[in-house]
Parts: sequence; structure tokens; C-alpha cells
Amino acid sequence: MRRVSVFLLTLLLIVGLVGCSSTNPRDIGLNSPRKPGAIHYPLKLTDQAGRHVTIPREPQRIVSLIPSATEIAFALHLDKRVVAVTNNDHYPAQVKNLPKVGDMKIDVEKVLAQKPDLVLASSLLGQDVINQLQKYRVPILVVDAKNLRDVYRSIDLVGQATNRARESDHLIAQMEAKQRAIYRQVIQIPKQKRPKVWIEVGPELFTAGGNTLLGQMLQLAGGINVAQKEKGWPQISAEQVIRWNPDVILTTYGQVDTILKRKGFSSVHAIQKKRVYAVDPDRTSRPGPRIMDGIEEIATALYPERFGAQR
Amino acid sequence: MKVSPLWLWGGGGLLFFVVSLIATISIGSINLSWIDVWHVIGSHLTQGRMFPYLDPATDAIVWQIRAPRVLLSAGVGAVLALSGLIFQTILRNPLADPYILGVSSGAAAGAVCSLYWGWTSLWLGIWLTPICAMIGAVIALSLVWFLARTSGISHERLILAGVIVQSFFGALVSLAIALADDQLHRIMFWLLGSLQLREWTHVEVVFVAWCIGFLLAVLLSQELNLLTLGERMASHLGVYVRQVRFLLLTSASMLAAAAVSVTGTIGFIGLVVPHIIRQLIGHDHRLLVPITSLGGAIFLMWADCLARTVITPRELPIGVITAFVGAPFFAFLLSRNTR
Repeated sequence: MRRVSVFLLTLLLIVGLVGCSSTNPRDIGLNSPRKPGAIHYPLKLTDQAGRHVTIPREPQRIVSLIPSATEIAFALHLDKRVVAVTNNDHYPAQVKNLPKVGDMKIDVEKVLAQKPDLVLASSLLGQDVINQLQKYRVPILVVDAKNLRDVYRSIDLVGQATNRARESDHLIAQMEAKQRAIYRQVIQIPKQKRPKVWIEVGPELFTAGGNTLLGQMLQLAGGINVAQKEKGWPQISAEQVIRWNPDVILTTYGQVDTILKRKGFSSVHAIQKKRVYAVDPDRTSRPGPRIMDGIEEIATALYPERFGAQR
Repeated sequence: MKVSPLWLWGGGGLLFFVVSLIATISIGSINLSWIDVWHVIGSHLTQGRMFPYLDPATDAIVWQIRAPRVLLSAGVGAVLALSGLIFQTILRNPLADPYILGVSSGAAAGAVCSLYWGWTSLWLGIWLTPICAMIGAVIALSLVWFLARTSGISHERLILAGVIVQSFFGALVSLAIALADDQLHRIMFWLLGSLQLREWTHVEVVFVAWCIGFLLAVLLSQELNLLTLGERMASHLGVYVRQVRFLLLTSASMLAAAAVSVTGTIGFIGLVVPHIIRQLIGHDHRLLVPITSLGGAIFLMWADCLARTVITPRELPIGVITAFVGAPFFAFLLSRNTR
């Protein structure tokens, strides 16, 4: 498994290097064969829920129902066209002034009141909301990323749908460049020096399994997920966590002090060396353009001597 | 002849309890030989004089994680079962238990409120949350009492009132969790209950509560017996009905609150265990009070043992297991009651 992933990473590296000879992220996307504003409408797309979506004309009023999609839209310079977001959105700062259409529960009426010609959704919101909006003939694009490749595909999809294909190529290239930069650092670290990491996403010892985006991000940052064999977001017994004896503990919900003081964990390396770090939950959980920052943040926590100096 | 059932059931129950205790401490989510497990416990009990301490990881797993957890599950089981027994007897309703009466939800709401506003108190320390939980529990119980009592307490009204109060306080807990940004991410904990990551101090809280409740129930077990005949009959027979009722209902709420404040709301133990024990040994509360405590302890110890080990290294929420056993039993009771 590991051999395959190393192979894939190498392949990615080679393809990336062939695709663009320069490593300066600013120059990279310029090789994109796609011209700005060259998308023809009506446009037929297949979104990440496997739905066929037809977008009749270039969207002017976009409603985003999920923060990751909002971040993608803003990264594609759609600032003027995003007309409403959710209460969970707080990045980038402009979104605070936009109208809100709900949180994890979407108020369909408020969405329709914005007269959107494109709605960006996620399957996390539930099928009901998507079905309901579909009834009103609003084009809905579901972006749903469970791994890094899916994130790139989400960005590409939003780019195509909004006539920002060139910008999305550019953004993806920038992210890939950052990924390579991190990879170049991580690959130099021998396997046995990589720390075992316990990711804690909830105080009752919930963690991220190997097949989650966060698990993949940890792997890219050069950490060994102690719960690699698990799938999804399981709750693990305290006994097992102590037995795994992680070198580093990452928490996505803060409360580093509580974890450091936890009874029975005093034999764990991470506690003894005080290597418990809080990582930004948005950067590490939203499958959007900032996941590279999230990976970098994790890598900085794991290898402060390598990644900390760059800042 | 009068004493022998107590010795029989008490002795048998105690023996079963000790066997369960030994077994559930020896079984865990990771592979440790039972020799190591008991070595660690031996070394702590003798403070290292007879057995040297083992490596710190094994030591922590057994002494800091597993042992308090098993004892806590025993304590919480005993407390909830006793609380359920008192509720069922005093309210003379076979369906009464702290969970269904909304007392657990009230306690959870009290505990969550204390955490939500971050109240701290120097002289109460870790007792603050249990005390807030108790206040919540008593409020919930008073509400149920007030709603159900028009002309005597009918079974339907009581359960209905319990459902209303339970859903109201449940909503309050959900609201507090929704409003709190990142303080109370323990939704699962408050709604389904969990024994994960508890410490010795939590065991103390539950044990103290159990001692008080148990002592009261034992002292008043004769009165409990008379109360099963009905309040009027009991008062003719010399029971101070109001005082006894008040004392016992408050102590039952306190028991439930102590359990909830350390483990969240765990349902169905308070309902199921007293019924099983009653079917086994009859209706004498001098016997029922201690045996129900033991039964609850044994039940939850094994339920939690399952929760820890069925899909290792993952954990199942304890509420899932108690409900799997409890819900069908509850349905059975309901269907028998309507006949």
C-alpha cells in the first residue's frame, strides 16, 4: 500500500514537473491550454455526486451552501458573483457581510429568494435539500471531496461551471506546487524518524481514519497515522490510544491543556514531550483551496525544525 | 427461614459481582494477559511492596483507564437501578425510571448549563457539575409531578408528563450544545452516554451518591414495602407518606443526577434491572434494594465490557447496548400492561 502511494506520488511529481518546467507557483498555471472565459453555455457537467447538471448560461448569482465551496469560489475570483453563503462561513473575511441561508440546515426559501442561477452544495447537507432545490429548476452542483484528488476535481468543476476554467487550472497548479514543496521536504525524512500521530477530532477520542481527507493530509505531511487501518471517523478506546503511544497528538478542537493533563496518558510520548498541538479546524477539514495550508500547518507541527524556518 | 433468601441472593449476587468484576477488568480492547492486569492492580493495592510496578504504559492502561472505568460502570449501574427501583415503587408505575421520567434529561440540562456558563466554585470543585445536575433533576421531577398530579397519579399521565419534560430538557441540552461554539462538543456524551476517559474522581462522586441513596433506601425499605399497598393504606399503617415520599424521590433524583453528571444519560438500566430482579426474588424491598444495586452494577459492567470490546479498537456508545437489551424488554412490558 505504502509502496503504491509512494509510486503515485512520484508519478505525480514527474507529471507535474513535465507539465511545467518552472517551479515558481506564479508562472505555473500560465501553461493552461484553456483560455479565460472560453466556456460555452449551455454547459453539461457531471458533478461529484454523479448527477448530470445543465447550466444554461454563465452564472451571475451563485449561492454557496458549504464553506469549502465558498472558499473555492472566492479563490476563483468570483467575489462579485457569490450572493449568499451559510452561517458557517467565515473565510474569506468578505463573506461576513453576505446574506446567510442557514447553517448545516439550509433554508430553501432563503436560497430561492436570492434568485440563484447556480447553487454549490455538498452531500453532507442531505439529499432532501438537493431534491427540493432541484424541483425549482435551480442548477445545483454537488462538490464532495473525500481525498486530495477529489479536491482538485471540485475546483475544476466549479471553474468550468462558472467560466473560470483557466483560473481553476492556475489555482490547482499553485496547490500542486505547494504540495510538491512539502513533499520534497518530507521525502528526505527517513521512515523511522517519522512520528506516530494521533489525530483527535472530538474529546471522546474520535479520530480520522486512513481513508479520510484529514488522514491523507497527515500522510502527506509526513506523519504516521496510528489509526491508519481504521475507516471514517471512529471512536477509539483509550487503552488502544495509550498502547499506540503516539509521538504527536493533533487536536482539531483545541483544548490542548485538557489533553496534556489527561489521566492515564502520562506514559504517552506526546504528553511526556508536550507535543500536543491544536490545528486550525477549517484549514484541515474543509476540502477547499486551503488544504495545502492545512498540510503545511500539520507538517510544521510535526517537523518544526524543517517547516518552521520557512515562515 | 426469614433470613435465608437474603443470604442466598445476597451471597450469590455478591459472588457473581466479584466474578464479573474480575472478568471485565481482565477483558479489554487491547490484548493484555490477565496476569499482567492483576499484577498491576496488585502492585497498586500494595503500593509496590509485594509486586513491583510494571512498565508505565501497561500500568496506565490498567490502573488509570480500565480499572476506574469498570468500577464506574458498576457504580453507575447500581445507582441507576436503585433510582429506578425507588421511582417505580413510590410512583407505583412499572414504567417509571429516571430516563423516561425526564429526570436524566433534567440532570443533563443542569450539568450542561453549569458547563455552558463555565460556573466555577472554589469550595465545590468537581462537585459543582453533579450538584447542578441534581438541581436540574429535581426541577424535572417536580415538573413531572406537577403535570401528572390532578387527582391522584395515573399511569398514562405520569408517562406523558415524563415524555414532555424529557423532550423539553433534551431540547435545552441540544440548544446549549448548538449555541456553544467549541466548549461542549460532547453531544454523544450527553445524549447517549459514555464511560470513556473517566477518572477515579468520577468514581468517587458516584460511590458517595450511591452510599447516601442506598443507606436511605435500606433504612426506609419497610416503608417502601408498605407504600406498594397504596399511599392511603400506607398512611393508615403508620407511614409518614409525604415525608418518606419526598425523601426518597429526592434521593432517587440525586442518584440519577450523580450518574448523569459523570456519564451522560444512559437509558433503560433503571427500568430493566428492577423488573428482572423483582421477577427473580419477589417484592420485599429489604431484599430488593441491595440485590437491585448489585444487579444494576453487574448489568452495566457487562454492557460496557461489550461496548469496549465488540469492535475493537473502536468503541460503541454504551447507550446502544443498553437500549438493544432495554428497548425490546420495555416493549414487552408495555404490551403486557395493556392487556
